[in-house]
Amino acid sequence: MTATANRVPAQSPARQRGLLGFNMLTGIILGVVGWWVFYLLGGLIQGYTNHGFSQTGQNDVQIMLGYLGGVIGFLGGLGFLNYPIQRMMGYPPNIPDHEVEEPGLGKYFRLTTDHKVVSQQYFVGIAFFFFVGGLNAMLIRTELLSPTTHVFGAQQYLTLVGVHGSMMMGMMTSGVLGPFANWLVPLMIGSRRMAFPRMESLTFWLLMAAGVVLITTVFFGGFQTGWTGYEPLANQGTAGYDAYLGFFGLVSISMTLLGLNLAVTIATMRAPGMTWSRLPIFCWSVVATAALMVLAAPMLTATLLMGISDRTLYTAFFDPGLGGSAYLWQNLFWVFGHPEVYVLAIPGFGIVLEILPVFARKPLWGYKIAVSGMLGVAIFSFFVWQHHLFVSGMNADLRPFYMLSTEIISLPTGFTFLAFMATLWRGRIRLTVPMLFCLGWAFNFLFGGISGVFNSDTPSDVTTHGSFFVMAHFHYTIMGGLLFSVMAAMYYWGPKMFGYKLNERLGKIHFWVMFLAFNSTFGPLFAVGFLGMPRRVVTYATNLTGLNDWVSVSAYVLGLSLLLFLFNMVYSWMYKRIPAEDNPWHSRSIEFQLPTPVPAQDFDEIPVFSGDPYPYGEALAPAGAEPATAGAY
Amino acid sequence: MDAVSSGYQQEPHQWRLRSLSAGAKMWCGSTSGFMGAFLFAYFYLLALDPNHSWKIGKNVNPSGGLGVAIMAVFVLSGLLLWLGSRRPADEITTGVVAIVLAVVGIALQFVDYGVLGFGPYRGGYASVFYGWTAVFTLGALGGIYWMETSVAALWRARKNGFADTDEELLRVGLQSCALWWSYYVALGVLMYVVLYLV
Repeated sequence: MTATANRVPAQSPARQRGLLGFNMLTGIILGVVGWWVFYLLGGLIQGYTNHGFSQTGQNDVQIMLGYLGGVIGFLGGLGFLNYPIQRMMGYPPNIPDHEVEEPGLGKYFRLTTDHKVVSQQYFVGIAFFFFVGGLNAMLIRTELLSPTTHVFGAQQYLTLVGVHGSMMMGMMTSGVLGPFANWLVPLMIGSRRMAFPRMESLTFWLLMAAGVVLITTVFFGGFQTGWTGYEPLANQGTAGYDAYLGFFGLVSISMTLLGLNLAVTIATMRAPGMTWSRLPIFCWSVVATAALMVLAAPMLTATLLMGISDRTLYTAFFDPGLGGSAYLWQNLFWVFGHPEVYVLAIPGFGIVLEILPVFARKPLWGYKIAVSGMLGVAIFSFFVWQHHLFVSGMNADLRPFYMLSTEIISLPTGFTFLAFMATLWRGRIRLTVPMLFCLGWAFNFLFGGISGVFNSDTPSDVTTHGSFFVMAHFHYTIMGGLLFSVMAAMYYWGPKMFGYKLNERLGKIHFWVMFLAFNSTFGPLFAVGFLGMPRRVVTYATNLTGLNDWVSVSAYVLGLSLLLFLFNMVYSWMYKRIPAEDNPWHSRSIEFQLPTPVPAQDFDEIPVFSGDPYPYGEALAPAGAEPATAGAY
Repeated sequence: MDAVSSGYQQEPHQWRLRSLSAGAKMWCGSTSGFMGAFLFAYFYLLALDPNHSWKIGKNVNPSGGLGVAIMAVFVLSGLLLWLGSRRPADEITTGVVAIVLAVVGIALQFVDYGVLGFGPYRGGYASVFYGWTAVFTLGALGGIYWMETSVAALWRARKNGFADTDEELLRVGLQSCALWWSYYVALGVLMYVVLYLV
């Protein structure tokens, strides 16, 4: 299979694309205008119905409407509102399904339907908000250097914790699927685009709007609930909590649409020969994740709408004094929240299992087992949510069921680990940077998984609940699982995506510093938790100062390791600019058989697939088939 | 994996049709999750009934007659669109009537809000009632938009004799819309049964 740049001459797009056309700058300007217009409108509404909204002593109506207007203005400035208006008049869409080859950087700052450009937008956008979330983590660790001397007040500290958690849990839901699935899925299945390209772009810009909304919480006093937004603390919160509701509302819509788009693309746009049993394992992980996003994220949207209506329309979903219940929030939140954990984790499985055979030079062991493992995790994740409520006063008879269902989920997780280990077994392992990150992922996720058993068992969970033990556990699974796999993906596919090599020596230094610092940061937190230090409390017992200082210093080193990665990207991609080879890893997957950078139209012709998806170590493919490489790897 | 060129420059036509159809089905799944949260809230708060405040005060009951009327109008809209989308000769007429009926349904919902004798703060039931019917109405507005664009595209394409237009794609688009709208109306029936009749 070969593909070359499509020679279609550059067309002038139907919509204006100049500086003052539909782009990010216009979006920001109209976003600010939209904010003020709706904010003032909210003031009028509140004046009219003041008797109903005055109880909270703050104008949530104005603020929520401001956010709504801001987002509408932002999307309108990007050109998203042209499409629906045109469509209402019966005209065909004026934004093309396929982008043409276009030079310059302008395409990165506007609505685009090239899946590769959207994935790069995702990469930069999410990296920015990840940096903001990471910065919050550094500030949290700075506060915890001393149990008595405070850099921030208790409220500021809780806001830092909340923004950090929300930013990471919200934005990173698209941390893999946004940059990597959008880029890889069409290529891997032999399509030139996503099923709904305009929707693909919308998911990205909605996510960016969400990130900005969350940051604005600092102007309204922040929020003290952490990322879980628990009632009744939320109900007592300042207007900063409105930003939390707006943020997760936008994230949940973006998640739903992203999952739907990916699932439909894989289900309906596979090229001839790309049967389900030949689907790359990464695409299977996307299927499992997309199913969770499509089904679970709308529950969060509904829950947040209840929260918004409690604060603006005077309903009482979560107010026990008026017939509501704080536990309702907890239940609904975790019906979404636990699947969300796997939205973060499963794509990591897919990345690692996709990369592993390339550097073990062996076929993926237990392809079907790994697939059933990922799908099993996705299905079981809907039946475990009450383990988050073990100490909430839930009916004691429910505990055994949720304890068992949570423990059972470790079985399908184990399937993927089995595939991981068995693929390594007797392989010709090459310790490249992506492979190192894959091995690091396995180490971290194993610790995260084993510590999770303690949290799933009711007796041990009762003692560790709400402590730093839980925090260490989920950082091992989510950060250790997700971030290490993202790094593996960046070193593996990054040069293909961006066209330039990454420095390998810097990459290896980055891995070792990050791996050691990560474990040095989160490993001791298990002990800190066992010793009784609770989460989300600004002070702690003085005998824990030594451990906390160790953790803080390690966290700084962890932060530095990520700056090292940033340096590597800037150094390699902006300064050295050594063009990446088409297939530097001798991979057999189709994206590496395409030129670097991949042309706008992906393929000259729709490909036809045949054979095993991971034929490493096997005889050459049939004559005439590409890649025309000599010998089996 | 091995791959060879198929010789086809363009993507298969079926991909677009299947995408629309599959997308509508998955959107039904998302809608279920969304509405499921309100169903959960209803039964959770009803079962818990904190402080015996499921219904605070008297007359926390909506008008059954209006509820049935709203439900009937929406059901008719869903049925008409579903049947019309499968009959090319009638698709535009039935589509327009389905849209009008949906608008009437929304208008009746607002009439219902106007004559209700209770506010959203009158207990768990009142909260769920207002919250659920409001988001259902919002969703119905989205459905009207989808119906309108599908019917408008077909109308304009027919006016131009389907020149430069993919007739089959437009039809499948309308059928996908009809699938979701019918499903949404069915969820609405469930909602009205729970809120007005249980």
